[in-house]
Amino acid sequence: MKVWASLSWRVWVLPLLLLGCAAEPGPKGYQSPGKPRPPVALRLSGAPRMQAGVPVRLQLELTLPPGAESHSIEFDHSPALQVTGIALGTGGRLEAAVMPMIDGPRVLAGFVTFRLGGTLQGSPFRLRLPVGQGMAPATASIPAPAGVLRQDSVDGTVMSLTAETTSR
Amino acid sequence: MTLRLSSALLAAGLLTACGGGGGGSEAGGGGSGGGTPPPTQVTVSGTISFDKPTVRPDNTLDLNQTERLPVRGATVEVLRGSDGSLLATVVTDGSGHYSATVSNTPLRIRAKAQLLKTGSGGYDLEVRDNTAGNALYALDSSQVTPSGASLRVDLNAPTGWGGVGYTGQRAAAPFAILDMLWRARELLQQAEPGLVMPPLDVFWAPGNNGADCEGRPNPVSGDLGTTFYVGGSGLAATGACPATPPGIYVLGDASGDASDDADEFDPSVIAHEFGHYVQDRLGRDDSMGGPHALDHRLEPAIAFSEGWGNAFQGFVLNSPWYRDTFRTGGTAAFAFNIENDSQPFTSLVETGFYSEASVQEVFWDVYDGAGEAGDAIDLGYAAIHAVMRGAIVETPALTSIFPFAEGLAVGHPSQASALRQRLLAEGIDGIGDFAENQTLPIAPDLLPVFQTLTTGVPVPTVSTDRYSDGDSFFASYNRLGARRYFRIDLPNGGNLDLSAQGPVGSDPDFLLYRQGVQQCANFASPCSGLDDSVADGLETASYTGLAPGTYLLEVAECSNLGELCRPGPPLGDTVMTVRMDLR
Repeated sequence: MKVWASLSWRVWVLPLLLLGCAAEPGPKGYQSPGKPRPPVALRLSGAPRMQAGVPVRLQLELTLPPGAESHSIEFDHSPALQVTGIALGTGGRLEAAVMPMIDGPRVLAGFVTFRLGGTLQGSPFRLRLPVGQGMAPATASIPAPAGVLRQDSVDGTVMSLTAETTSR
Repeated sequence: MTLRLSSALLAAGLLTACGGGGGGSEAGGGGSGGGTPPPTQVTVSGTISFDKPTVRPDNTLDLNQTERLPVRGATVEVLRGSDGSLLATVVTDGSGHYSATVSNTPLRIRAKAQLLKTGSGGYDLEVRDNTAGNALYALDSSQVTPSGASLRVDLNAPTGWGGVGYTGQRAAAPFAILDMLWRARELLQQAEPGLVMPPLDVFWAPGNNGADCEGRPNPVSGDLGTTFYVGGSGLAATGACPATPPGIYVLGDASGDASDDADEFDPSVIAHEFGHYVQDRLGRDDSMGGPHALDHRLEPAIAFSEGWGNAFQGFVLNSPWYRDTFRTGGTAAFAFNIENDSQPFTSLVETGFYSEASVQEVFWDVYDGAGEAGDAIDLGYAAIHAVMRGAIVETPALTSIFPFAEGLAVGHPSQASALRQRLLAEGIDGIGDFAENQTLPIAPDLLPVFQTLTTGVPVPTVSTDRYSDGDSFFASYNRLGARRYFRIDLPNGGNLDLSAQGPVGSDPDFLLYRQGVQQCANFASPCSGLDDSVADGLETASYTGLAPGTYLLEVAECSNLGELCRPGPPLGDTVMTVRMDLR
C-alpha cells in the first residue's frame, strides 16, 4: 500500500518538527524546508512505553558537530510532561527522568548549547513522545495576541501597534 | 502577553486623550490672538523609525542596546482624528521621512508595514499577523492637533523589551522584517531595473512557535514548526490543520521557554526565506524540500536551493555570515561563515555538487571581489541574478549548480576559467547543464549524474539509501542517489512508453519533467509512474503527444524516499533497468 501514491514527490510536503518541512500544493508551488538548522540531533534510544502518572527514564542520544568542546542541555517546563532530572553520560548519551501527566502526543522540547571553534552555538530541539493509548490530536496552541483590530479604509484589517509619538 | 498588550494599549489611549485634550484647532486658534484665521491646510511631516537590537561579537542579540533605524519605503497614511478617514497617503523615503499637506484638523499618522508600488518596478511586500486574520501591521500615532501651517509628527516602533523580557507590545518586529524586505527589494531592482515582483506576504506574530499541527503548520494558532516559505497557492487544509496561505512565515516565540525562537531580528533567516521566494517566483526551483543540513549529501536541486538561500541572505546583508538567534531576547546563536568553508562547522561540511555548503561558497565567491586564494571571480550580484532569471529557468536539466555554472560561464566567458577552477576546488567537475564527465569518488556507481535514454535501449541504474543518516521517516527523500535522472531528447516529440524494472519486492517509481514541469496530468493512468509495483517490480507508463524538446526522467526505488512514499524500511541499493520506446 503506497501512502502517497497520488502525490508527486515534488508535490507534497510535510513534517518538520526538528526539521522544517517542504511541500508543494500545485504545479509551481514550493514550500521551503524551513530555515537552516544547526547540525545537532537529539534522538530517543529505544521505544519506551509511556503512560500518564508513571515516571519513566528516557535514554537520549545527542549528536553534536565534530570538535564540539562542551555542551549543556535544558528542557522546557511543560505541565503535561514534567522533566524531573537529567543525567549526562558519555558519548553524547544522556538520561532524562520524566513524569507524563496527561495521555496524548507530547513534545519534549528544549535547547542545546555547545562550543565550537571558540564560538558558542546553540540549537532548540523538539522530540515527539506519544503518551498512553489514546492518541488524541494535540490541542495545545498559543492564543492569538491581543491587539486592536480595526477596519482599514484602504485594504482590509490592520493590526494596530502603538507608536512612540513625538509631535511639535 | 494579553495583560502586557492591554497595558500598552491603555497607555496609548491615555496618550490619545492627552493629545486630544490639547483642544481642537478652534480653541488653539482662539488662543493665538490677533484675529488671524487658522490655516486651512497643514503640512505634516516627520520620520518613521524602529528600534533594532545590536548584535554582540558572539552573534547574539543585545536588546538592552538598540539602534534606531528608519522605516524605508513604507506606506504612511494621514488619518482624520475624529473618524479615521483617509486624508493622504504618502511613502517614506530612504531616511524614513514623510510629508503630506492635508486639511487643518486633528489627525493621526499610520505607518503600514507595507512596501507598495504599482507599474514598472512594482512590488507589494507586506508584513501581516497570521494569528489575527492576516491583519496588516500598522504603527499608529496618538492623535495630534496642528497649531500652525506645519506640524512634525515622528513615530517610533519600540521593541517592547523590558530589560530581561518583553513587557510591552513588540511593535518593532514587523518593521525590522519590513526593513529586510526593503533591502532585498533594493538588491533585486538594482540588478534588474523595472523588475516587477510578485506580491509577497510575510507573516509574523508573537505566538508563532516551534510546535506544529500533525506535522504541518497551523498559521491560525501560530504552530509553525519553523520559519519557512510556501509558494503557489499555499497549503490546503487537512484534518485539524487549517490552510496555509502562500508567503513567508516567521517565528516570534519569546514566551520564556528554553526552546524559544523568534526570528524578527534575524535578518539572515528572513533573507534566506526571501531567497526561496526569489528562486520560486522569479526563477525556478526543482527542490523537493525535506530536512537538510551542512553535513548532508543532498540531491542536487535541494543542495542548490538551500545553498542559494544561504548565499542570498549574504548578498542582501553584504556579509558572509549567516546568523540565527534563539531563546528569549536572542541570547544564543547558530552562526557560520559562508566565505570560509562554513566556519566554525568546517570539519563537518560536505563538498560537492550535492552539498549546500559548496553551493553557497561558490555563489559567495562569484559575488564578492577576487583576490582570495582560489577565488579569481568578481562578478557581483547582477550577474548571478541574470542566471537565476535565465539559465536556471530554461534548463532542461535540474535546477542545480551545473546550469548555474554553465549560464554564468556563457554570459561571462572572460571569467569562465576562474569559475571552473573555483568549481573544481569544490569537486564539481561536470560540464554543462547535464554535468557531463562529473566524477564522484565516494560513489562511482551513482554516475553519471544524468544518464541518457534512447529508444529501445535498456539502461541500468541504482537507487540508494546510503546517505540517509538513519532518518527512518525521511530516509533518502532528498539525499544523493535515491533519485536517478535520465535525459530524453525528443527532437520531433511523439508518443512515449517508459518502464523501470527492479527486483520482485521493489517498487520503482518515475516522473517525467520538461523544464521542471511534471508531464502527467493529475498523476493519472496511463502516464502515472507512481503505481505500486511490488508484486513484479515493474513500473510502466505511456505518454502521448509529447512536444518536441528535451525531457528529464526521475526514477527512484520508492522505499528509499522514506515514509512519504511508502511505509517500511528502505530497500537500500536497488538496481533497476530503465527503458524508453517511441511509439
